[in-house]
Amino acid sequence: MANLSDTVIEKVSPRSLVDFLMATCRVAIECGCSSNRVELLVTRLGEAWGFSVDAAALPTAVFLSVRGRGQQINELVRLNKWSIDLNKLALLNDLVDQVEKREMALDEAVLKLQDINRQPPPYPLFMTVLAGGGSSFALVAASGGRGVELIAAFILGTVCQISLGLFAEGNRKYLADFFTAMMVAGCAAALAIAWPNVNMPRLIIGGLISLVPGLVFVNALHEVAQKNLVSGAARLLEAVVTAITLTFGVAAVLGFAHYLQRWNW
Amino acid sequence: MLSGITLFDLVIAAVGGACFGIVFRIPPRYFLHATVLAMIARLGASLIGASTHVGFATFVSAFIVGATSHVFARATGKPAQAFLIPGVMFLVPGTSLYKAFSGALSADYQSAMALLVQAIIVTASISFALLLANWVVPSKRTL
Repeated sequence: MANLSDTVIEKVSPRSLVDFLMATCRVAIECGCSSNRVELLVTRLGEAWGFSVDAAALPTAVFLSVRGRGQQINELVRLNKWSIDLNKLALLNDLVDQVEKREMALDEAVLKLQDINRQPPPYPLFMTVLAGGGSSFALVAASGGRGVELIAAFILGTVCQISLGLFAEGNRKYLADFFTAMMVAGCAAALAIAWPNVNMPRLIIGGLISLVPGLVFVNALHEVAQKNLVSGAARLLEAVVTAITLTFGVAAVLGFAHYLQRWNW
Repeated sequence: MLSGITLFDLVIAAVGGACFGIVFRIPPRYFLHATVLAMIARLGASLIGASTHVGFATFVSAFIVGATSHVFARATGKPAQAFLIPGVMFLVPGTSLYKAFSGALSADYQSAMALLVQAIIVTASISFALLLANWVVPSKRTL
């Protein structure tokens, strides 16, 4: 693809670069990109277009400072939701590659970013629900579960995904985690009544595997190890809060079941 | 059967990798890569973990998975993270972390502390293994 001419690049205003970088940061963090990668990315993109960019990325906000053409613009991007979407990340990767090589104008790139943001998931909903069941099945099998436990784990994994689909909208992430943990624990308790030989704690953990914050914990330490202390600490806190939310959700149901048992229900 | 690893274990790892790939919306054409990395993670953790400390086994497995995901990223021109996340899911200590909080809630503080320390050791092993893999096989792309 042909590069844009130098005259076109010289006419690029700091404002249009800032608009593009803000949209890029938003998509990158919302797709699960680490803070240090986002900071490196915006610095490189700025340099490619003849600007000096400083950035501080956190899971909840990105601070940008763009200097060049006799101007300085400081901006803040506030982020309320973040998850892992590897398909969008791959599309974003292709786009920023073209922008870095100056093969695409910034205005066009902003429009393409909006398209990426509106991109539907690559898999239909039923497949994601079944995959949730499959991941729970695999985890329980890997930790020694056999026979009916595997069937039960598959059921709980699908329950987890359905519950997330029902509750996880907007900024209700922790509430969705809490309700999902309650639903999975309730279903695990019901399955344990139907099949008394199953290991209920293993089933609950298997069912909640896509929610337990192991990956967030790893990302947090990864960021701390790269001297991104604020971002790492924020992710560490997220992991702790998620683990506590899940534990309380499960404990609420098991506590209730314990009282029913005491009253011979 | 290879030192405690059966074909069933590898099939389970492949199924897990594929399912995590769908849950995390990996681009469909890189499905096989995620499956292979999950199998490598499971094989590595089981083979090395049979004779050494879980932290070291996790470190070696995570390093292999990290390095392989960077090789895949270089070959396909996609971000290494797209391959790494489904692959590394079998190594992350989510279960230990959950059990630690669960133990603390039921006032079993001793086992909760032991599980938390184990989770921290495993997590630190993965983090530093991924940093090392990034250094040994550096990315061509920023993302």
